[in-house]
Amino acid sequence: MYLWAEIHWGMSKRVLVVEDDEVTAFLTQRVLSESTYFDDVVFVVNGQEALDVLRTQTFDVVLLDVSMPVLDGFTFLEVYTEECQRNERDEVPVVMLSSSDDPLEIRRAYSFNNVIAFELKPFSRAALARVTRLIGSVA
Amino acid sequence: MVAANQPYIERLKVWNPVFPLRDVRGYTLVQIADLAGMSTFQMEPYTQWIREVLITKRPVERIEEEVLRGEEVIFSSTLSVVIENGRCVYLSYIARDITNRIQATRHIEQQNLELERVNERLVHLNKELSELGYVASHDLRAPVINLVALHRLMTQTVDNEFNRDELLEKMANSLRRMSTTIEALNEVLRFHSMEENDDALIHVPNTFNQVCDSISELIVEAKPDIAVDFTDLEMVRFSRYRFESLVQNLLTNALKYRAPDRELKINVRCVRGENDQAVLIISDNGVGIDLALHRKRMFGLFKRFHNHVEGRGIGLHMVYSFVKSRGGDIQVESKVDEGTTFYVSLGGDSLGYEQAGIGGGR
Repeated sequence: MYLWAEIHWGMSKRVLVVEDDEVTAFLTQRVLSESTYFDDVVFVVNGQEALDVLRTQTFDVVLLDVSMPVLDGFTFLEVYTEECQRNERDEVPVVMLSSSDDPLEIRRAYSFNNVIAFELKPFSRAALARVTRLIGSVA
Repeated sequence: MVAANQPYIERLKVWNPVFPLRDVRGYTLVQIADLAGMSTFQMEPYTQWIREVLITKRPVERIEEEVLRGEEVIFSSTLSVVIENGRCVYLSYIARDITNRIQATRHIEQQNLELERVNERLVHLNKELSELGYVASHDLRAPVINLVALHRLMTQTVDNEFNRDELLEKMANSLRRMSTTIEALNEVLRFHSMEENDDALIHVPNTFNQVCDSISELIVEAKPDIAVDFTDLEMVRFSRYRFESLVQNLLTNALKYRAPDRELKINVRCVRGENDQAVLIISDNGVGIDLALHRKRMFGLFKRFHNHVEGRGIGLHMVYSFVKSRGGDIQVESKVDEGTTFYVSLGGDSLGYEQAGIGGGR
C-alpha cells in the first residue's frame, strides 16, 4: 500500500460511488465531474458489487449510500472491515452519503475507523470540498 | 406435640382443637401418633424427614401439597424434636395452611409471565416503529431530496447544460420511486393496524390450493414440482387472512427466487412442533441466501437481497411480524445456490382441534 501511495502521490484520484438510485447517482456524478480532483469515477449499485470491485481495484475514497438492496451500506462496512483485517489490507476511506441525519446513524457510521465523513444527500460542492480536503489529510 | 415413648393415643400431649388433627394431611390421630413411635413408624414419606430432624437436631420445614376434600391444600409443615438426656422425648409437628399465600404467589408469577409476554410484544412493536421511522427517513426522503435538487438544476442551469426532458424524466423517476415506497408503507401500516379477529380452524390443504390458484400465473411461469404432505397436521388455528398471506408470501418467494438452470422443486409440510405449535415448513431448491451476511436483516422492512428479481422487501417483514405477534417464530436454513427452508411456528394454540384431540371436524 505504501509503495502504491508513493507512486500515485499527486497523481489521478479514483472514487468509487456505491449508489442504487439512478437519479442520486446522476446528481453525484454531476458534482464530481465539476471538480478536477477526481478523474476516475466508478459506479456500482450495491455493497456486494463494491466488495467485488475493491478486491481487485484501488480507490482513494468510497462514496457510500446507506439504504441499498442486496448489501446495504452498513453491512458492506462490516464485511469490508472484517475482510481487510483478515487479509491485513489497508481500508479505503469511506464517506457515507445518507438521506438521514439521525444521530444514531451518524454515530454508527463513525464507529467504523475508515469512515472519514458523513454527508447528507444530495452530494454538494461544499461536501466535495470537504471530502477532498479530508482525503488530502488522510493521504 | 407427641411423646415418643408411650403407646398411641396417650402419646399425644397437645394439639390444636381448632384444627382437628385427624384432618391434618388426611391422617387419623392414631396414624399421626404412630409417627412418634420412632422404632415402628411405617409411613415412608416421613421416615426421611424424621431422620433428618434427629440428625440435625433442628426443626425441618417442608412444603407439602395434598388434596383434601377435593381441594388442593398447601401446608408449610415443621417437624422438630425435644430431646432430654440425649433421648427424643417429644416430636412436634406444626402444619400451617399456606394455600392462599401460595396461590397468590402463583397468581403473581402468572401475571409476571403475562407481563413478560406483553413486554416482548412491545419491544417487537417498538422495533417495528423505529424500522418504519428509519425507512421514512431514508426511502421516502431520498426521492424528495432528488426532486428538490433536480428542480434547482432546471431553474438555475443557465447554459442549458442539461436537456430539460432528461431532467423531467429523472423527476418522474424519483416520483415513481416515492409513490412505490408510499404504497408499500401504506400496505405495511394497514397490515399492522388490521384487527386480528378472524381466527378460525383452517384446513391447510384447501387453503394451500386456494393460494396456488391465486398466484397461478407465477406458477405457470415457474413450472415448479410441488410436493405437499399434510398427513401429520391438516388443521391449524390461526387468522385465516394472515395464514393465506403467509403461505402466499413464502410460496411466491420460492417461485421468484428459483435457480434459472434447474427445475424448481418446492416441498410443503405441516407438522406438530414443540409446545403444541403447528409448524409450516416450506423448502425450495432455489438460489438461496447467504445467511452469514443477511440473517440479521432477513425480515427487515424494505430489505432486498436479490437484484435480478423485482421485489419491495415487505412480504417477509409482514409475515415475520405477525407470526411473532402470535408468539410464533420463523427459522430459516439456506445455502447459496442450493435452496432455502422456512420453518414457521404458528404460536400457541395453533394446533387445530382435530389434532389436539378435542374432537370436531372440518
